[in-house]
Amino acid sequence: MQIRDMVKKPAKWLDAAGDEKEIVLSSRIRMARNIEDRRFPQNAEKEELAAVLEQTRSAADKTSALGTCHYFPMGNVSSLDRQFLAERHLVSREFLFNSSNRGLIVNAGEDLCVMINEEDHLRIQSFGAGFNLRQAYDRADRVDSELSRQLGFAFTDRLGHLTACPTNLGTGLRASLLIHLPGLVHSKEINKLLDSLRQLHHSIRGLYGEGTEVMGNFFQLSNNVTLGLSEDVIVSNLKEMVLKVIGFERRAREMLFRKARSLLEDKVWRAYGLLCHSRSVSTKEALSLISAVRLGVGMGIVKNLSLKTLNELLVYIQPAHLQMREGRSMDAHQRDVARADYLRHKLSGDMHQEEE
Amino acid sequence: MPVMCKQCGIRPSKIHYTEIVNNQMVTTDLCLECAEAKGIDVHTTGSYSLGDLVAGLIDTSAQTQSEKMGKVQCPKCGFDYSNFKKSGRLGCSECYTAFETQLLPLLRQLHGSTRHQGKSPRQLGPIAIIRKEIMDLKDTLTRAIEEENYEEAARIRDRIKTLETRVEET
Repeated sequence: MQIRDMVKKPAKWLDAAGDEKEIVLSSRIRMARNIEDRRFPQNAEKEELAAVLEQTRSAADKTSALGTCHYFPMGNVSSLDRQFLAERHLVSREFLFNSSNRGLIVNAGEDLCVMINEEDHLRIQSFGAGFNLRQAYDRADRVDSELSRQLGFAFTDRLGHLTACPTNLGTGLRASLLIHLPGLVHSKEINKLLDSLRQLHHSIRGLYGEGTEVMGNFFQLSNNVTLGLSEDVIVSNLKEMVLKVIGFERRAREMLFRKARSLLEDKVWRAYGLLCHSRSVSTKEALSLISAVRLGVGMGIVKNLSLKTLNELLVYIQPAHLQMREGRSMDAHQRDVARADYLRHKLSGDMHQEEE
Repeated sequence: MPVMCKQCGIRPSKIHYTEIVNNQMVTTDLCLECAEAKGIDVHTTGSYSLGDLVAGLIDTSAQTQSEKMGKVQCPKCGFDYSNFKKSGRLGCSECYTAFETQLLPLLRQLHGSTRHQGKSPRQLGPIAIIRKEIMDLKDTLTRAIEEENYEEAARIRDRIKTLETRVEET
């Protein structure tokens, strides 16, 4: 398989099949692991990095979970391809700038992957649709157990898994959920919520994780503490927290519906109109329009449009996806036009399918 | 109503600035002009990774004598502790032993703990082993159903049930 073939079908976890799908788009688990007796990537020479790459790849080949996966050495991957992988959440933004001696192992469904030589030697990631942390955790856990038998991870009984940055020490576990909170943003309660989450040692970030902007009312909520708590406790704490956030969001949505129904409906339908008829639209504007329509679908205002389609739009309106689909590189203006075209076709197509 | 700069009180604040003073986290709101006057590099602010924040948390008041001379190094990889203060990343797994004195207070601040409670790669606990068996059996079950081998599937299903009860009981 080549990277450009991946554009033909969206990742499995976008299918809006999971629990609480109106609010929680996806669940993600990431485990940071390092190989014993090897320097952390940032401090290692290229020969050592190359050895880690080879070692990990051959270990992965022997596991049942990763044996049938695809392997992409990043050094041979074009910058457009790398951006495409980042838009699909398979590699981090760090991979965009420096690709030599880095690699990605990914399965066909794109719900399991291993980044090699990111900040740590291995970053095992697992994705699930909707609110399903446990399932995503179990999948990553299996890969971790299988790989640890082959590779020998840097570990001490006292500090657990040793990571390049002490923020990941111990379990190396970052559990996160991509959640859509337009209700709390409109009701202006979001900042209060963010403050309390921070006090409870959880962090909230933009759509693309660390250091990224919040767009379209999409947030990533994750645990901060990785040491001193078991994986089970970390996952269930986050779960409990998000259940509460979901409750707040539902209440805010109901309030909006009761107090400002016509305004809300107007906002939703205007956004829908713009998505269906624009001739040029930026990523940022498209995200905010999709956010409004998503709220409309979640509240039953817009009926014949699926959350699955909207989830796919979030990924496919991005720059590298548009260029991969068209098979050519485009400047910002051309992309805005291509984005509007894509949105129009996708939305009219989905409407027809739903009606049939 | 924009938040005003806490320094001059005239211009609206553009920067929410956090610094560590005597082990206490102090935050303040500043305008660009006052921030620059305080020597804060306003051009690189904006997006921080967790690692960058860690570099800011590292305690500078508890420096030992040898550290002041810049001599705390990891014997294994040669990584200098002063580099950790800049980048928030360590050089190799041995650095945790080499810089233990300096790191333990930081770990307490970050995680509220200095002792791992999670999974160990050395020994899979009995529950983990059962969980793994359950996952493997589920895969076998899917295959059995695909092959329409229902007798085998029923047997596997019962085995999964037994194991799941055992996990719940423990």
